[in-house]
Amino acid sequence: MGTEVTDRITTIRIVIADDHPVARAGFRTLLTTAPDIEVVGEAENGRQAMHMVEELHPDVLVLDMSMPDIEGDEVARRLRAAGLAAPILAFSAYSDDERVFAAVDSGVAGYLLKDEAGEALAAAIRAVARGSRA
Amino acid sequence: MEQADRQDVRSRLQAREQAVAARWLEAIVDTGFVPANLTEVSRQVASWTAQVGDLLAAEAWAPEAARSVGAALGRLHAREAETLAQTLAALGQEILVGMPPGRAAVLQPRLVAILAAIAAGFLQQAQATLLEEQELARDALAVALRRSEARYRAIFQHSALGIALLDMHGRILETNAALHTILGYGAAELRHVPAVGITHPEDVAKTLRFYDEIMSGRRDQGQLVKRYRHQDGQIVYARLSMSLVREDGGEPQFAITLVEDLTARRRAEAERLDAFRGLTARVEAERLRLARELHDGPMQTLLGALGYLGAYERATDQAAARPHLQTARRLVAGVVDMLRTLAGELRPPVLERYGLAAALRSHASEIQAAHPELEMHVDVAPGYRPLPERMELALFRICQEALRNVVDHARARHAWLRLDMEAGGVTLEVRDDGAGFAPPVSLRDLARQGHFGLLSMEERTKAIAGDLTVRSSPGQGTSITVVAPRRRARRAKG
Repeated sequence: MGTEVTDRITTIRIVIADDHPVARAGFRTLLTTAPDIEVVGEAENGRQAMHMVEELHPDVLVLDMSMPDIEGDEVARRLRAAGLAAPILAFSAYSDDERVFAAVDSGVAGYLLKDEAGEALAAAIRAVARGSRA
Repeated sequence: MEQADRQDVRSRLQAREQAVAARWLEAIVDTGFVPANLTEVSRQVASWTAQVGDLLAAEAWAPEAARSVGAALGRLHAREAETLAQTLAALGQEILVGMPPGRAAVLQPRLVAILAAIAAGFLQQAQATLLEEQELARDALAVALRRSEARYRAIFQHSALGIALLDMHGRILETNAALHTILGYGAAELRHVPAVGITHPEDVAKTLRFYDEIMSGRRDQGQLVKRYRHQDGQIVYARLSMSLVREDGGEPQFAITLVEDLTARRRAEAERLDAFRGLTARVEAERLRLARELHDGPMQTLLGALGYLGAYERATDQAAARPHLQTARRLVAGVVDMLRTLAGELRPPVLERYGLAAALRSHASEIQAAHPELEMHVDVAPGYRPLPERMELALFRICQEALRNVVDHARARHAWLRLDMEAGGVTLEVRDDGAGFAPPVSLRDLARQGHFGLLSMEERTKAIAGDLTVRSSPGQGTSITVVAPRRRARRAKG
């Protein structure tokens, strides 16, 4: 991964929010293999996630949908309401319809199951980032 | 008649006396009555015969003497009208036998009059005796009735069931003390209040239907469960049993209503329901805890491991990325540990393989390790023999629960576990020298005050046919003892 290559590829800056440190560390490590994705911040709860989005203006927020303090879809709503544009990739261990619909309703740009993260995490982040750069 | 003639009559009559008396006696005995003292009776008859003879022969006579003969005869033998008939026949036929016809004709009217007087005296006596007997019978009946009534009154008044007597219009005639207690109204009040007045409004319709069924005679008996309104406003659940009492001719006279108070039973059931709901909630809470633990522990760790494995897979320089593989392996090993611990919590493996005594010791040392400030003592009596798995599990859970309370609440310095076996039973005791508490009295209170631990101990103890005793008071420490029979007791009848 030479600097030339990096210059040619636009880096996608992301904040990853998940209250489980081991899982979060695993995903971050996974993303080190994606040269065009840079993890600029890690949050372990909803408040931290919102704070980091405000401060760091990431391109994508990868958001665990069931964190202890505020529910993921509530975080999404508040960010929307505050006018913070970063698209959100909802990240969840569960795939039941209700959760997915609730997430979509709250304005997330994509929904990914955690156990599929290995294959699809980087691709999903790119897709979400692309989607917002119309 | 001349004096000389009268003398003649007298001597002739005297000569006939024995024969007449014999015939008279025969007549009396003939009518089916054999007197116990035949000698005495024949003496009496002889005397009467003489008297009749005297009366016949006397110059002037008074009917009273003949009447008293009749009365005497009546006293002897009042019930047999035939006695009188035979007497009259005997005397009439025999007494003038051998009398010269002229004299007989003169004597005839007097004989008739004498016989009539005897009859009158007999009848009077018979009447008097009958009256006497009637009175005696009435008295005896009255006494018997009083006794019987007293008995029924006692039954009525002292019955534990509420009883009401109603007339065929549904009006309350009589009530007993038990009913007053059940409804909170006295006898006078109940007489004036209609049944619907003391019935829960929602049960009025079915009560009226029920009354109608019985009172109309369509049914002789029936039962109804309904709610009354006690005088103090509370609801009383009751079972009514109503039956019609008919006169011999079949006409219903009145109705008896028995009222059984079900409230206590319902309250006990409601308490049990409450307590079980609490227990169920606790089980659900326990499940939730487990679900969360699985999620927060093994699940997220495995997700993390997936991430590292994915990183290793995608790495362009796999040799450099080797640490990711190692991390993943370490994380997976960690999950194995977590699951082992969780499974152990769910079902202690020591218990299954090595039995209760070993499981208690193992559990105690785990607690000791986690809580160094609490000194654990385990004492298993040498006479302890393994019990059926079901019992050992129950006892282990009870001990687990008791120790959980000690750890969470007691702030104790020492805790003692004792397992003993004696006289066909097993004893488990968990004792501590901690803060103690005031044990609640009823199951419902246990649930209300959140003592689900005690409740679940109680339930498990019952399941092994045991007895649970909780001794504690604030500042005095706590001791929980379970005593259970080795063999399952034979089910009690009923």
